[in-house]
Amino acid sequence: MTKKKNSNDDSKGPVPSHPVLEAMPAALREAVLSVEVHQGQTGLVTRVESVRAILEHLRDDQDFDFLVDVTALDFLNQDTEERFQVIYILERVSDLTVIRLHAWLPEDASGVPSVFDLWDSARWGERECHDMFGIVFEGNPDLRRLLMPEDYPGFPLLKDYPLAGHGERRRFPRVVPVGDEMIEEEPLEYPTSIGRGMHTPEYIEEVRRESSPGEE
Amino acid sequence: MSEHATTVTWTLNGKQVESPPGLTIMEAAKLHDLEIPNFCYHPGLSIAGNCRICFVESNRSPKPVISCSERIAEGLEIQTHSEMALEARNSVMEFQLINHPLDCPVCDKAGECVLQDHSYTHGPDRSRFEENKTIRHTKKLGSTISIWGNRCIVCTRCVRFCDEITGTGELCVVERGDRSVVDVFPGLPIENSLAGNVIDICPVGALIGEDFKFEARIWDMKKTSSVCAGCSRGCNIEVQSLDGFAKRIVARENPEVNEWWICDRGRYDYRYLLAADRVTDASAGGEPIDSDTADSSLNDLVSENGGIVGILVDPMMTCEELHLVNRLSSTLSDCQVAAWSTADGEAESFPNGFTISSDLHPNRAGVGAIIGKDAFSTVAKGLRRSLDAGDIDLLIVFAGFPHPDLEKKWIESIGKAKVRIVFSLQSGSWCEGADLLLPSTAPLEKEGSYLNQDGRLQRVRTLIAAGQQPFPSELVRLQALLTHLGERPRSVSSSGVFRELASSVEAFSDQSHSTLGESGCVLSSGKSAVGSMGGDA
Amino acid sequence: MSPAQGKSSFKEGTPLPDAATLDREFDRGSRSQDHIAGIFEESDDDSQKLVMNFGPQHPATHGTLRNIFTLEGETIVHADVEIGFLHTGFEKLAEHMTYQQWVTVTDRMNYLSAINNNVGFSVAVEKLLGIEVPPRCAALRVIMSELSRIADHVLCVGLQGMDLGAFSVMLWAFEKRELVYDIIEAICGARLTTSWTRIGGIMRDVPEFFPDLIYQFLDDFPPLVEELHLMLRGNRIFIDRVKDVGIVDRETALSWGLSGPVGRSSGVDRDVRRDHPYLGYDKYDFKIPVQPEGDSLARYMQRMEEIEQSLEIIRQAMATLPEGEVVHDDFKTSLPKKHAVHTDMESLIHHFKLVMLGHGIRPEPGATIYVATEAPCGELGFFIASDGTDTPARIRIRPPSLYNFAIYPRMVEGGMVSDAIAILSSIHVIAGELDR
Repeated sequence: MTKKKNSNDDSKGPVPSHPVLEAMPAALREAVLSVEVHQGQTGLVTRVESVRAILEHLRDDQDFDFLVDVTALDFLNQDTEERFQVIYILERVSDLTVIRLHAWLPEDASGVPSVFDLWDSARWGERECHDMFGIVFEGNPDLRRLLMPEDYPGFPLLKDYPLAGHGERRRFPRVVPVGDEMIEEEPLEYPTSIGRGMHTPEYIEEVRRESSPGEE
Repeated sequence: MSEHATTVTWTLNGKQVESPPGLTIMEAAKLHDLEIPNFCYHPGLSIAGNCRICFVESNRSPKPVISCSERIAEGLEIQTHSEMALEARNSVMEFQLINHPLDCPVCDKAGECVLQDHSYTHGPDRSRFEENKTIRHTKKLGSTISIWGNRCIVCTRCVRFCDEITGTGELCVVERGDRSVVDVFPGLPIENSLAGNVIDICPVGALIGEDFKFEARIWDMKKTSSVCAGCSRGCNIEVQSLDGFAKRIVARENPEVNEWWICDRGRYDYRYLLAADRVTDASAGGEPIDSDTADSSLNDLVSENGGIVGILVDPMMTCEELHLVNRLSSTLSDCQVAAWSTADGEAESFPNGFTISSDLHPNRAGVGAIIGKDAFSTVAKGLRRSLDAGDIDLLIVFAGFPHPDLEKKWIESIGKAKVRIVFSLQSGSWCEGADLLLPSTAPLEKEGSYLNQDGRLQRVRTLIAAGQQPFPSELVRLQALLTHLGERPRSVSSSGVFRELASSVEAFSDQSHSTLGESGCVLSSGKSAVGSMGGDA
Repeated sequence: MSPAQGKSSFKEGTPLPDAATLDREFDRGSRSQDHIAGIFEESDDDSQKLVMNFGPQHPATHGTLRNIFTLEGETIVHADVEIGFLHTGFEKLAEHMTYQQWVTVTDRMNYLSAINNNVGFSVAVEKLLGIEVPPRCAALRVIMSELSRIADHVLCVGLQGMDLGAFSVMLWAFEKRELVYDIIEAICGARLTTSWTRIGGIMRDVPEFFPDLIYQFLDDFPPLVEELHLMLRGNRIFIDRVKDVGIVDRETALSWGLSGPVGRSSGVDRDVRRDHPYLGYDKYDFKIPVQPEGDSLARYMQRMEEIEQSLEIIRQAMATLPEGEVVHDDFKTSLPKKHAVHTDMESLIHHFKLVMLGHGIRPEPGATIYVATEAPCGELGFFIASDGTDTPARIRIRPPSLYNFAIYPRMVEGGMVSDAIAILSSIHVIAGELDR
């Protein structure tokens, strides 16, 4: 049964706490919507507007000097209010505390503030997150694609991006030898799994559009 | 507690809840999103209470109670996950499995087996049984059903089905104790028209359908929700196919139309898809041609024809295809559209209210609503008269019948058209000598909607994956033809065609493919929009 | 930014160019394809800058990486990297495979030490499900992980030698690596793509001759460490090429997320085995070497010392290897033995339920977990999010090589091309893990 996973879900019992949360100033503690505990690990859930302030506080005041990872989760079709969650995993080397910050990010948000100036490991962490999800980290000086080619038209780890892709590989212009010459190959207009050409590109486009969720 | 209380307040797992009175604990818990396991319980059958897996702990009893038959009452407290309830269900699962054979690798039910699911969720993970397991019979109970008695857990769902739903009572439990098993009386096999449903409702792999035995694994198959095209009732089905080949049809629940049942005729009605007689290639004058030539041939024959055109539609066509025929006839200068069908079958009705219609076509009502009320009668008569008089220059015939049983006089009249284009599913005498013969999609391969005898519009879906259709469907060919004639700029999908239909025929006006959902929708204008059920001329 | 004399300007005490300057440099012509190799760029002064490709095909790039250097003479004025040549979408695959199936994908990440990847993933899933492996399984996993770590470090050191011209060192290292591969093949069935761990245990128990195998290895292997030290540590040319090259100080290392031997050789005292112990690592008594210098020589020394410590761990684990089962004894999460599957009803059912698509292990919906293990390259972490179905909602691999490699452009700028090669081989990135 799926209930709406609201950021303001207060139908659970008392909110579990964590020393890191206790040590935060009241204003930031308000910004943390909930605390998710699983198998002894704690995640603080907040919204993307408060992320920069919380991360600055965590680095400057609570000595979290190691940003382990930056990643994201896509909650498409899971009945949540916002679509994305950006996740920061932080560690304090002095006493080995590991904490996670989950920031809800709506799909139509313009971006997330970058934290490359707090931890340099965020430069490539955010770069890969952008490459895979399309999330823009505002302020990151080098938000090029990391793993995919620069002009790749899709963001692979989104849930509505199919595993086999959209045939981008077929449409990349290639140079092939033809006889003695090297000819630039005409990229195909549609994936070759549709045979015999009786389905026009417009028909395929219409079918794809109709079969994706949210039609009409 | 008044006798006319509208809700009952009771406690479920420590939380106070309210439910309508008269429900069993299991039904009430379902309304609160809690599924209690069951084997013998089925919402469409009477309550048996013999499997005991639905045990819950109650404050009204020192022993666990079965939730499928205990009714909720004011002040009742039920715990479904207390230690007593968990241990009770665990023990019941252990007992259920002590005589169960290790057939999972060869049992068709693996993957959709309720016993497997409940054993994993509620039962122990290893056995303590060291004796020899009981051996029971494996035999045919009817022409389409066999029982593998070792697997039977004697839940009696099948027995109750034959008693209550079909009223025929062929099945019974024989022997007693651990030798109990389901059987038929000698010489009285199970042969009613709803017999295949016992395979659906059997929670284990005891009752096996002979057509699907050893055919495919459920997790490999693609499942398509569609509507049966066997009669005008439009029972909801799920077509399970593997690599584009239909392997099995099972019933899909629709409380308004067929509840949980389908008849055997519709259940086994997929074999025609691969029949030897099926038209697979286009041909012109008996010579096979390739698909592109067929398309251009169709376009040329229609556009170059300046005379009187007749179109004969069949009630296997979807509403979308019928709409395109309508558009075609408006585009052409002089065109009559009539309809033909096969002979009626036998209607049947059953004690629980299930009926099988005598009209063996799924969309007769659709033809009536879209082409016209008299398409089968007056207009058809008129078209036949014109054909016999030799007036028709071009006749386009749609003959997508899986089981064509067509009248000879129609076939003779068809032959008298000067130019004849035939879309046909099976090959037959109406195809012979056609100037252009094109393969027709079968009902299970159509993407669109059917209007059933009660005015309910339901979605049909193709079991063939996008792009794997071996020849263009009528939806594509007719749109290509209309594009060639300049009626539309480009082809659209079936949902797009439906949108056009909704804006041109009033009965369909508030509908779209998404409003139809999985259960269909009764058209708001009700039966008045539905054409006459009269037979053909 | 004036090029320093043959040394990287990334040294403690030397003021770094400010972040704004560095970032402006990165923004210029941001498309890697704009870097067309061989083009002489115009510049304000009289110097001529050459843009050169180092990789993706080059015997000295470890795996398929592309470095684009803007050179002035031999000095690297600006460096950029392009990765992603080995990107095969492991994380995307995870969303379509069950937890049990995805173990085979983890082999392909750090393909030189596949067992560490398998163990890392299995430890993460076991923590997600809240199950404990039996002690014998934990000890065996530790022994095989350390063997795998030794193989990886030996290869790194050998390649470090080869990149700097000491070809024999590489061949000697590979010869002794074969001992490790023989053991891995005997235990796991394959040399490279082991897929050895299962959820709740390992594939199968070790054969009876396992102690003989390991003790023979412990006798045969240590002489190699001596040989490598002899050939490299005592070699003037090697020392000159790696000493004070590619220095990273502790603050920078922490900020850039360096872990593993690269981090520890810069003074960052982090080791997941000691800090967040798993598989009973807290029972073994081993040192975590840390080097303060942060140059390539320190990285070499770090790996050599870690090899010795791994040998020590193996000795202790073998001495205390307990008897018992190697798979967690609950068929709701772990596969039953084949004998049970063929004779026991519930075991057969549970085997089916664990393996059939659409059924299988279903962790709590909405549960998220991040578990790190110490891989030879650094902190290998798995962030797993579950949606209650048998396939995960997301598996994020925290690749140590990615974060170790991110700092590479900064390290080589201002240095010479030959230093860049020395630095690259000392960082030892593995492209499979970098790109996934």
